[in-house]
Amino acid sequence: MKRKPHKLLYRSLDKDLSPEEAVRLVDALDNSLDLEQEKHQLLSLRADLGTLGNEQFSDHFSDSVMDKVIRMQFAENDKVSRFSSLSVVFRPIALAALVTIAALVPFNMYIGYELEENRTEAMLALATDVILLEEMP
Amino acid sequence: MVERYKSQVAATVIGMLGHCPESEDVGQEVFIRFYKGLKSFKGNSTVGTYITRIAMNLSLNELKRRQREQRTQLTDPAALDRAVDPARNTNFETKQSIRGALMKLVSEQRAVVVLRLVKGHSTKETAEILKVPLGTVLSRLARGQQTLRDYLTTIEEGGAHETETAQASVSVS
Repeated sequence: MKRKPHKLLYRSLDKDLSPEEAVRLVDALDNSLDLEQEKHQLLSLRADLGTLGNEQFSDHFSDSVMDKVIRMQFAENDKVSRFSSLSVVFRPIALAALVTIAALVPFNMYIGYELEENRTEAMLALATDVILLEEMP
Repeated sequence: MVERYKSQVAATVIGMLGHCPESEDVGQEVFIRFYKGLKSFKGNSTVGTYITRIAMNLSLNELKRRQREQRTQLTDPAALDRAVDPARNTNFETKQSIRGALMKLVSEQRAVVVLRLVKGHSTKETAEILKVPLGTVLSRLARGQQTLRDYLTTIEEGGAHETETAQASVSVS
């Protein structure tokens, strides 16, 4: 029972109490000097805590942050440029391979059609005949 | 962007970690993370709330790291000395003693107290930033304030006792 007015007091500082609770708190404050004193201490504490809100970093804080961001951007750009230089080197090779495949597939299909072989195997230029090794005499 | 939000980040990070070199590093990391995550920012919350959430998460990570290393949570020992040693500090309502008391709170309570009472976010915003229910925010807030009040009262009583002792020794001599 003793804690209830205290709980109401703490709650009243951060949340609206119901009319009934508010009346109970006012009664409790009127009847208890300790509670009244606690209320003043709490209000004073909260006011003191509020003064800590104007903390500041050192003067060069913003410059340090921007330095880090710029360094990070450079590192990212470096990664990107390495990747792009690799892609530049391999692009002609990949293109040549693509053109070769594009030319070979229809050619193989045509040959396969002419020889009446399985089309898929012909297209991929796979062997269709089973090669048997001759037994040694 | 850095100029606009650095004060908000400082209040969160220094509130959580105290004045120490790590605070500055964590503060810088907040903006780096924000920059990296800019593409994934959907705008469901304000930029300020988003940055504060990053700052709070990184601060909590730093506190966990410190706990792992079994370091003391108070990174400014001088502040604790001033807060704890009544002979050095006759005014117990100073920023240093409050800051020292704040560092005594467990990280969950400290996070709520910093966001709600130091930075002035509403309880709803605090719940949103920490991704916890509103009831949890209210209960952690109540427990945190109670701990702070008890701690500061103890220091104050200790200080009064020291002063009385000092006065007594002066009158005897």
